Amino acid sequence: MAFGIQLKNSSGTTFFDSTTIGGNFLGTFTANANSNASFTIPHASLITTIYTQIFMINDLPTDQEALAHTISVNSGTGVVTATAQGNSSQSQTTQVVIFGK
Amino acid sequence: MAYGLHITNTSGDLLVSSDIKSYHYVGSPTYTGVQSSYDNYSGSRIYRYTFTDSQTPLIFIKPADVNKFYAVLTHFKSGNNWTYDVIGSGTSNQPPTLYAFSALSGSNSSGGYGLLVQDGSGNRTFDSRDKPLAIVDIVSAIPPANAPDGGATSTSAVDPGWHDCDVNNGYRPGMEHNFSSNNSHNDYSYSNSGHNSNYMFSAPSIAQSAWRKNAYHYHCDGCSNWAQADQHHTFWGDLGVFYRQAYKLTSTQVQAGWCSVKEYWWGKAEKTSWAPWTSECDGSGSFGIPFSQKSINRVSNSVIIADATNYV
Repeated sequence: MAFGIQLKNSSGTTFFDSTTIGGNFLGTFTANANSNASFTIPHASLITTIYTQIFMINDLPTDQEALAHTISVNSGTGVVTATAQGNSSQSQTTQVVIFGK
Repeated sequence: MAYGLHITNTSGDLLVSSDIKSYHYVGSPTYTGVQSSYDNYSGSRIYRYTFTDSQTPLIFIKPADVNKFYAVLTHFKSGNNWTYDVIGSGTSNQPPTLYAFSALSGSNSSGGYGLLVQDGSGNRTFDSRDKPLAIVDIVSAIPPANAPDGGATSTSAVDPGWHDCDVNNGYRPGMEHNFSSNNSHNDYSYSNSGHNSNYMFSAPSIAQSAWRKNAYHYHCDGCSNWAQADQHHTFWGDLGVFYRQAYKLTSTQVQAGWCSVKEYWWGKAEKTSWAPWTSECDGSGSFGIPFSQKSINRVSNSVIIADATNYV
């Protein structure tokens, strides 16, 4: 390599270098059923792209729709918002994981 | 920044920072067995794993079979104990290997060399001795709106014919649809120049899909013959299949598709006549499908691709 960073393990194999995408953990929060929630990412200005993963926690009802929150990201302010969907029995608790590069 | 360390990659994206923690490998969840099986259509297995972590780990799946769809179906949390149900398509048991990554915690790792980065409070943000997550690519993926390979079903009732009281076997063939889902997927290419058999991905299953067919049959023996007692033959039935979102990682693509999880079936056949009144083969039970004719929670989710070779 002409420039950049290159990290090797104890065997001498490169496992992390300047072509890698870093796994930057930006935060996680829980949006409870029937409630909206938001999270402000610290140091958001350092991140070029913000990503989210969402999943529902614990057992889901099997006799009706189980709706996760919808997620919106304001990359300018670094605010991630989770908005509850459906009625009180459809809305489920949603876990939001935020990462970026 | 007033002080500290920021390293960016060749695209200008943040690689290492003293302000932001990086994900590091924290272990491989323990496989405990098959929770449930479904053998019709494309089929599926639900595999269970357990793991302990005080944080919310990112879970990666290294497929046991690259021709199958997989996804983390359910996250159960009790204190620091996590239980994961992972769905895999197919009719044989092929549990994938899971890898968990979390932000650094605890004291310094052992080892006298490498790169250690700390924040202003002395907390580690990056430690090369603890196997930081090196991501190959991230794609945004969403499955097709219709899960069945045969497309959306119609709710107009089909006539399966009259098969007497053989509710479970006689009527269902006339109600069938191509409910398999192996070919229902949206495809996304990714940076695969270093692809090997240890590639893994992280993407939970959030979308659900359910589709049904309805059936109705009626005919009367004797209704047009005054000399014969009327005998009414009626059948009502419903057949539905429930799907969850899943992903296939090929050497060139992320395929966002579906796994059939379970089916719903209900049928009732009735043969009645008067003078004397008789009634035969009444069915019972209920259909029970939670919804149908649509997909819910169908949003783009981030699929992270990495090489498990670094963490074996």
